[in-house]
Amino acid sequence: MTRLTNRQPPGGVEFVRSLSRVFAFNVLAFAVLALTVPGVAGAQVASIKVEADRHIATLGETVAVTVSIVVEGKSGYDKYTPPAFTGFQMARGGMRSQNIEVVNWQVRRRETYSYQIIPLKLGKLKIGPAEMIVGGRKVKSSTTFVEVKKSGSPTPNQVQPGAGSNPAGNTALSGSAKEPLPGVFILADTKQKKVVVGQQVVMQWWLFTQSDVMGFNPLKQPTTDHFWSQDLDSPRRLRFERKQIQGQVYYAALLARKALFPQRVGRLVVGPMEAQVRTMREFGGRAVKRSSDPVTIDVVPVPEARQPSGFSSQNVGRFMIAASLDREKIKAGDAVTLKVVVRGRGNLRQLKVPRLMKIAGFKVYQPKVSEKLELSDGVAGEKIVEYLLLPTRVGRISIPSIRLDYFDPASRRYRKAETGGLTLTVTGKLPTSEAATNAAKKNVLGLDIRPPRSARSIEQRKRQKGVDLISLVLFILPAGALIFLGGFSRIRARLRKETDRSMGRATHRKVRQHLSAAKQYQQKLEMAKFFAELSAAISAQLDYRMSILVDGLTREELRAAMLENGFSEELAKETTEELDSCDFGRFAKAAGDGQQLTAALRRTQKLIQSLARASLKKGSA
Amino acid sequence: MMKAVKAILFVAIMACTITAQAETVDQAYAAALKSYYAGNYGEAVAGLERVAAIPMHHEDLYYNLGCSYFRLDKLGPAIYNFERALALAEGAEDAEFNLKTARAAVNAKVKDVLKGAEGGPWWETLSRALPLGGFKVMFLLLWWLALALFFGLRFMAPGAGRTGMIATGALVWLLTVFCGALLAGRLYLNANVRQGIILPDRVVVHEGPAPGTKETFKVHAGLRVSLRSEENEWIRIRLPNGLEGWIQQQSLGRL
Repeated sequence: MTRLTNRQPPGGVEFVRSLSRVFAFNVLAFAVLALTVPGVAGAQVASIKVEADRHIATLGETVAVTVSIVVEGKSGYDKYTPPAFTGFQMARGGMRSQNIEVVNWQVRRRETYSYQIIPLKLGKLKIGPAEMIVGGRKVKSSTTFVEVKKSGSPTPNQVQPGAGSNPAGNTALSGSAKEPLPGVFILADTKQKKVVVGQQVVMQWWLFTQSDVMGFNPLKQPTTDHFWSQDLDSPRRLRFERKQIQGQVYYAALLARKALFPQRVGRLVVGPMEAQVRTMREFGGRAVKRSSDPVTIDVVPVPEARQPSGFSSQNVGRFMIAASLDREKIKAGDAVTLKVVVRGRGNLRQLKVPRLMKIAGFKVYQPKVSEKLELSDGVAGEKIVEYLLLPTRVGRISIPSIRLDYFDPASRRYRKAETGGLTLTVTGKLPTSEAATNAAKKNVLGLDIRPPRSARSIEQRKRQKGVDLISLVLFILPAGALIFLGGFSRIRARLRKETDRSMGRATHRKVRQHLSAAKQYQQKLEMAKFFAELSAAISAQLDYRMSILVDGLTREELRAAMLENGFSEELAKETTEELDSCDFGRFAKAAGDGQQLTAALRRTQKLIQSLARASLKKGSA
Repeated sequence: MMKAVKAILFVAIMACTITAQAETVDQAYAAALKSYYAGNYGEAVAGLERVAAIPMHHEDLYYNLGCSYFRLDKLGPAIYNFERALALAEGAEDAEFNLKTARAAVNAKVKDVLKGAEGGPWWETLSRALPLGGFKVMFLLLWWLALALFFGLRFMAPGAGRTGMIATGALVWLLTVFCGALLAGRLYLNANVRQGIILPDRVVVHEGPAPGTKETFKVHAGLRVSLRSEENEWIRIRLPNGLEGWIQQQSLGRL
């Protein structure tokens, strides 16, 4: 637990010290971790697995065992200990094959050790575990079991009568035996013409020829309606072998071999196989069409007498059954795998293995079913059903034997195969039910995609490659606004600034206003106001031209100022006289007629024009 | 009068044709989706490809095609269609997720390790780091901020605040110019650089545009390559590390 205390924020030096302390601690912690945990220093992925090619065997039968080792990383493994084959005799052992591959700079070693062992005693024999040392730690495989039965028991590798025997061989052909044989023909061959429902029928199609075959083109595959069919062999190249039929020498090549399991009672027909064959015998290598005869098979039902209850019609053949647990002792809360293996010859894919729905003391999960088929002279191999069992109590829990009823067509009898009972020891204390469930069912969510989009309709879309209008507007808009605002301010500033022209225009406007007012007063014969306006007009013009206010000047001062600014003596005199005349008219209040006023107005207008046009000295307005 | 009748008839026929086609497209699309949900992924692919061949471009169509191909374990076409969906709807989260998943699935099988790929032009890598829309938004935000700071300077009295604003403004202007350059680069790439996705699990790249020419290297499903030139049924590709060679056009999905 860390105690929290009030701290002052660290100063510059203190902060650097704290940082260096944290850094040093981290480096030290990583070094300790790297030295103590080998996985951190040099992570290596390693696995070892022991597999037997069969889980059920008879005394004297050879069992092939493979130990597969995969090690990823630069260094390999140090010490390999092979599995203990107690109760077996080693027929051939320790064949080693090695494969090294480099993927993304990672070295991956794959090694396999192959053993062939022969069981010496009956019962459940244990193989393994195999061990190796990788990066200082021991890696161990799980154990495997082989159930050894008596050699008298029906084994799957014993070929059923007639199944997969050599075709035609030196025997006569059924049906067409007495007819003269053609130079080229296709033969459909089986020895089993009368079988029970579900019994395996091995059929072979052969091409027989007496001359060299230049070309072969299959036209039609045989129809197998009402049969469950399994391809056993369909060679890509024709391989001929010498045969003798009815005293004649032929070369025969296998075209197809199938295992057929009839699914209903009655006379079932396997259709002909058709092909085009070109031989040296035909003129010009002409292709001839050949087809096999259809084969009729009588299918009878399995006998009803002594039929076990719940018998499945697919369980026809020869089978053995064995069961094993992956561990014999577990801790409470752990799950255990029960493996039920059926080995035999027959329709293993459709074979009904009794399902364990409920076992007292266990919770049973849905099983995983797999097959290991051996397709040579018929369908044989193993069907493996793996159950995950979760104990619901502690102590010794028994698993009852599992019974498989099947019909053996060779002996025409119903037989039963049975596993022995198993016992599991559960130690410790059971966890709560929820925790137990979680422990047993680990929900591992792997790599997967999200589901499709389920919109009901779609419409045409266009890929946007360039700049859209909205973006363009959003780009231009603020810049345009700024430019506009800047421009507006500049114009306004310019408008506010007084230039010579603007002042000239303003003066002209002012003079006109005064003269216009004077005209109005002239009509009303208001003398004082009339002359005041004339005087104001002249003053405005002089203010502008000389850039001074002339109203406060005496006549002499005005005259001097005008001469100083470059006005002529005559014009200065005329101006002062006119201003005097205006003052007289304003203040003398003498009566005047219209003509005098008109003359005064004209004079003033003329004077203002003269003042405006007069050229002045440089530097003045 | 006759002309008017003919015109009305033509418009009516065209309208009927367009309606009929729209219904057919939707029906075919719905049927393909139904096949997908029923687990018939082959049928789903066939149906969706038929719709795409109209031609119809829609992000949902490509996305669902990608999902269907993925279920068939055809990872090259799956990646190609997820890329196409993203080209129409950039940043679509589910398409990005599925694309990542499909690429991870390819990498689990085999990975093309391109030596020297990191030495490619940095601006191209940066320009492709974000979707076009993302670049646009980022640039416009910076642009507005830069202009606002510039405008705000007019109203700031001289002092520390104004100095700070000038410094911030300078930084924002620099970022704006940088982002604008990347956006321009992206627009250039979009307009001028053609790209494609390798479709089959493994493709042998030849030295020349003919099957008999020397085999130079191999590429795997889902690899994104640039297209340089075309000759008959062959196309010259360039890898991100600069390696070039010829493959058949059918091995490539054009983006």
